[in-house]
Amino acid sequence: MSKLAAVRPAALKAGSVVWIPCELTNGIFPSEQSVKIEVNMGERETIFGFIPRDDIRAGERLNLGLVRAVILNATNGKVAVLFRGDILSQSNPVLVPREWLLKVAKVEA
Amino acid sequence: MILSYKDLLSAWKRGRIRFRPDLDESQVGLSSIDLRLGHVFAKLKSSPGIVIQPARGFDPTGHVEIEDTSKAGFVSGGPIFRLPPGEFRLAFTLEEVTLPQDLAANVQGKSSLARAGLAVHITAPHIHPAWSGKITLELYNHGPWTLEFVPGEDLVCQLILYKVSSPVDKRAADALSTYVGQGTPFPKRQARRPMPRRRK
Repeated sequence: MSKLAAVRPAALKAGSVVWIPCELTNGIFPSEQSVKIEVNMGERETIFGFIPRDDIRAGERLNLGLVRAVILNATNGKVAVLFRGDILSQSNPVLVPREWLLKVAKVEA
Repeated sequence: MILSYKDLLSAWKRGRIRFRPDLDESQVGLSSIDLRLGHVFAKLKSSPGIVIQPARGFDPTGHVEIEDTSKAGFVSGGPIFRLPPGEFRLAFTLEEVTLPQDLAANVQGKSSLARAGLAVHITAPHIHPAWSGKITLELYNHGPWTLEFVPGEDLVCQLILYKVSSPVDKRAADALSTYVGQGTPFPKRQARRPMPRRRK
């Protein structure tokens, strides 16, 4: 699996793939995992969903990892990111603060 | 606008709508495409006193029983899935579906199976453009008899495709339909068992 690097601002454009840190637990099906993302900038919120394992990278700790998201749009300080799978807590795409995404997300190097 | 037979065939043969495993042509209908029942079923266990907030996230660990009919030793003794009256299971279609950026879809039941009491979704039939994956089915038996299915073969739902007014950004659509860690998301079609006869 390819290495990850920090996101550059120019990479936040439609079609870019980013990897976002998340907490992981079991999903309903073995082929998926429960994903929890804490957005701790601006209006704090928690994103929760069931995501296919193909779209998850394991982290250094058992219950931490990264989830794949695709950028749909980036305007006015917010970025619309799309996840595969089911997002329960928000509409999908999810709007997240641009600065937060630049701080936490990774891209394939 | 709903796609009809000629457009469905064209969209499939030209690779605009993709399926893995691939369709048999007999699955294409006048204005829908029939999909097969997958092998994995999730039963949500009844647990007295449990309250969840489904729109805020929940941990299903310990509250789900998985039945995988593709694995030897399945309790029913064969590749058969049974749904007793009044019971609910989550399941997937056999096919992974990838939609292009300008088509949305609805998954719906089939009238023949609805007559026997089968519902395949609970008010959530919509699939967005550029979506990719197996479709989750919410199976419920409204009828008085146990229903029996052959996973991997029985056609239990149909996909109805619509043109959307403006397409999703192509770059985003392409990125969504790219499978992580796989060179190609759709391997060549493989020989398999003959398809069951199409049911209305």
